[in-house]
Amino acid sequence: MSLDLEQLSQAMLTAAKGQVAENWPQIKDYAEQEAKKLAENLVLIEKLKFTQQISDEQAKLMHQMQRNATQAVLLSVQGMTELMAEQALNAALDAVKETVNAALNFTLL
Amino acid sequence: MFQTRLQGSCIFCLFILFSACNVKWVSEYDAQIDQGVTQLHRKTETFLTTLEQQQIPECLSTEHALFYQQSLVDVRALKIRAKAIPNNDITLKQLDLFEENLLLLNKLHQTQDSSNSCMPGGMITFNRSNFESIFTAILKFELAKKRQVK
Repeated sequence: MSLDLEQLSQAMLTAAKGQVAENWPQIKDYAEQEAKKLAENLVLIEKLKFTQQISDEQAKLMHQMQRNATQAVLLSVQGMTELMAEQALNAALDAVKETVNAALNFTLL
Repeated sequence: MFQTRLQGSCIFCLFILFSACNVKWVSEYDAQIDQGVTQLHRKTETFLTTLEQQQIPECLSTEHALFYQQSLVDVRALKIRAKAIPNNDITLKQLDLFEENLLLLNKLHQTQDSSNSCMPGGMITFNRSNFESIFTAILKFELAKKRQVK
């Protein structure tokens, strides 16, 4: 039994798309919520400085803290996206496992 | 027709490349890191809530030296654990960022001491939100690792 390239690639794409469709909305929602919070914090720093509740030095320190928090959030988004890609690839491989093993007559996957 | 064949060939090549094993780019979920970060969050929130209710001199950074010291020890212990787990660079970087923010918070607190006043409410609100973002980022990613296909 020979392998049908088009059929295999379609099966893999469908499985991979399923993983992305399931996981991407959660990543997107999280990124949007955090972006809003981070923006609110930047506005708060400016308000505190404008009303002289904090000094220039303190504003600088708070800005640096805010940069670090933003980076932590972006790292999380990056990590979850990598996980999603990993799951998509593994789902694609799983989708064609039986077909491939049967065609090759041994357990490759 | 040519594009479909090319797409099919590319996918097949990827398939050969990754065949015979499941791909793993991200580390496994670690319960100790999950619990450790959750505990650090509780400690930080307790510290900020206490500060909100205190007056001079209790609110000065010198009165809270133990919090800063213990939290640094805790995060450094978590970093050692994170470093020992393969493919765990992202979590390690996030813990680095938390450590840096803890040191910056201490500096910020000390600048407030020099004016002999407690941290203003707005500054505490900022710190709470800032640290919540970092803790959520670390935990969200850690929990997402649980969903990995085995």
